[in-house]
Amino acid sequence: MYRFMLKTFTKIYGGRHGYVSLLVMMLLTLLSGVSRAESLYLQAINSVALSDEQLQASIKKVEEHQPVSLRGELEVPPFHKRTSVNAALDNSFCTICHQSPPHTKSIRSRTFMNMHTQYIACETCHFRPKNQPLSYQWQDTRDASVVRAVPKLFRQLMAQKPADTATSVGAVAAKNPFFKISPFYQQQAIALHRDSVFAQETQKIWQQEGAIKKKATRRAIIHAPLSEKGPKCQACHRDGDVLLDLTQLGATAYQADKIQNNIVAQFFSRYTDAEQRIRIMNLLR
Amino acid sequence: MLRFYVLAFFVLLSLNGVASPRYSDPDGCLSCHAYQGLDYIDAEGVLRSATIDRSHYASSLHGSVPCKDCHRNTVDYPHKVENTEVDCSESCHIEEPSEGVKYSHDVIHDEMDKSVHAGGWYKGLTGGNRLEEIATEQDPSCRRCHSNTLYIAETQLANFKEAFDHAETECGNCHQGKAWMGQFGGHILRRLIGRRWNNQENNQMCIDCHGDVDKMRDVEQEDPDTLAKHPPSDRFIHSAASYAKTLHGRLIADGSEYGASCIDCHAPAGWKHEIRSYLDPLSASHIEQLPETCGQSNCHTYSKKAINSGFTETDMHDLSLLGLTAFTNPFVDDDLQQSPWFWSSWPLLLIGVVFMIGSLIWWLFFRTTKKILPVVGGDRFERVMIGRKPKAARKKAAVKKTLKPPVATEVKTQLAENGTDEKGA
Repeated sequence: MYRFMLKTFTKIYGGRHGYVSLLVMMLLTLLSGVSRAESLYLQAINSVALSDEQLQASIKKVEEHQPVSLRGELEVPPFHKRTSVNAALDNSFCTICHQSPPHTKSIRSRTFMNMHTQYIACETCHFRPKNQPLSYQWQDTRDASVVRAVPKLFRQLMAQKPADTATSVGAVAAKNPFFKISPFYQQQAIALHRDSVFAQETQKIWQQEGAIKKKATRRAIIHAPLSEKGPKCQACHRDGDVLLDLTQLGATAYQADKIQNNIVAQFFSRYTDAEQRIRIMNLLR
Repeated sequence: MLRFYVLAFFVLLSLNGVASPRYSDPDGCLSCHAYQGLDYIDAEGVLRSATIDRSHYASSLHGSVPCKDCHRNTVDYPHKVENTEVDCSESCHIEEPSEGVKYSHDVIHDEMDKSVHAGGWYKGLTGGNRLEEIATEQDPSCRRCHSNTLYIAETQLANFKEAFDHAETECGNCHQGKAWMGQFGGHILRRLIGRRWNNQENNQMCIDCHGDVDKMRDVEQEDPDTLAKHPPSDRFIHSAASYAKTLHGRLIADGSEYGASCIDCHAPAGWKHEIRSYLDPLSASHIEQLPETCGQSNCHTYSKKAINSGFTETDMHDLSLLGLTAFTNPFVDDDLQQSPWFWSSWPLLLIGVVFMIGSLIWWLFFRTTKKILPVVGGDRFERVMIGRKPKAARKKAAVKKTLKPPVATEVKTQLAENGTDEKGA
């Protein structure tokens, strides 16, 4: 095989140039092969150079970490009926450490952000590298396969026309909860799967007793390419240039309009600081 | 009329899994709360949810109650936790159909206040303090037993559908006005199809706590007279288990419609929440009240008579019942040794054995003998029941009969010898 290729390249480029061209071609092939094997996120992790400050901050976080275990059903049941919690986030790399649902800090938006985890992958909001355009597609998080974009994937609203809203008795889509809008780079999924080698290594490190520095290092490099805060609501819930092209994701014009002009997102746009409270009757006006 | 049919529509759709028409939400709460997945895990590890299932709520017991009738002070977003607290004893805007009185659970709260469960929370209830309630309060709160279930229970849905179909034709024959049907139809229909919970479900509510032995061991009881605190007795701790061994407990566990449930004995009157200590003279389970309690609903009506008072002393929570499944050596049991029934059974047993042996001997040796035994009353039996003469008189008659010659025989003999009788004829 090598001799055949050398002969071919020599014929094309002539003499010594054939050798050089073959070498360059082999190197490029190797590089592209490597880049196809790793997602952009994993590449970013592998290329992280941790500063001492970052490492110290991470060590502090690991030392102060207080695990919170999800309790089962309490003796005093909830008053209002609850729907069952599904395991749709269990295939995510992030929930190896983070709870499902993960958001807890912001009193104002934690429940709404957790609501979004039903159909948006963690990486969509938290992995937004600069100068690298990402595309977004529906992905089955169980096997990382791409799901064909169709309107029924948008589960909250099923009516096709405004006139149908009042009388619509169409069933809410029996949508698969494992389908999530995930980021892609050059047609390759960015999200790490829980079964990946890196994920399993991470799990083993985290399960070790002690090993604070090792855990802190791992934690730091995982979070370095990520942004702690996701985009504001208006990044998607507005007209014009938005983060997610809903039409490309399968939404009908009506669905896209309803999502982009969502009333709750409009409520949130009125808050100017984290501690602010607004009268509900003012929000609803 | 509209309210009645909207309610019926929601109930019939609630189990069919289809989307329902928009439910009236005067405060706009469902603008946010209708979204699915509004969950988070709090610092205690409790999964909290702000999602309200719209169609389920509309078909629930509180389906006609706007959100702010319970969560009265919720005015801002983010909500202040203290503003979302619920007081179950407050009135709401639902008006009782007959007299227009605003509905309230305060009558139940009054009963609870007099009961042994008086410490249970009835106000200050939020989604976030369930864990605190469990950790700090031994008595049940309203929400401990009562969740916002469907207005028509699933087990009653078939009956409801049937009754609903006939509501207009049956009631509407006389009550022709739509206003009446709308106002009273749902109210009456709901009660017509029977009570919500059967005896098993009623008991299960009590057993959820009282069946937990460890939990009952930690209970602190209060004497109704002295108000002194004391730990519970074994009888109290194992009350659910001992009741389960009684006939009442077994009947109900078996699904029978008979059998007295916990509430039937401990709070039969009123709104069923006034469960007092059995030492309290006003308690339905007090010894002096038991004749009335046991005689309710045509059950043990004879217990109301003073002569049958011993019946009411049957201990429904006897600890000795707990050993029934391990009945290996009964004769060493202390309770058995002290029981007057046990000791009186021995002479009765002896007499029974004597009679059995006597019957066997008669069967083997004397059943074919027609012999009257005066010593055991045979003679008297014949005289009184059959009307025969006494034995002595019969003997005498038998002797006379033997001595007197037969007349007819002599005359024939003479005629045969002489041709005449003794008179010369």
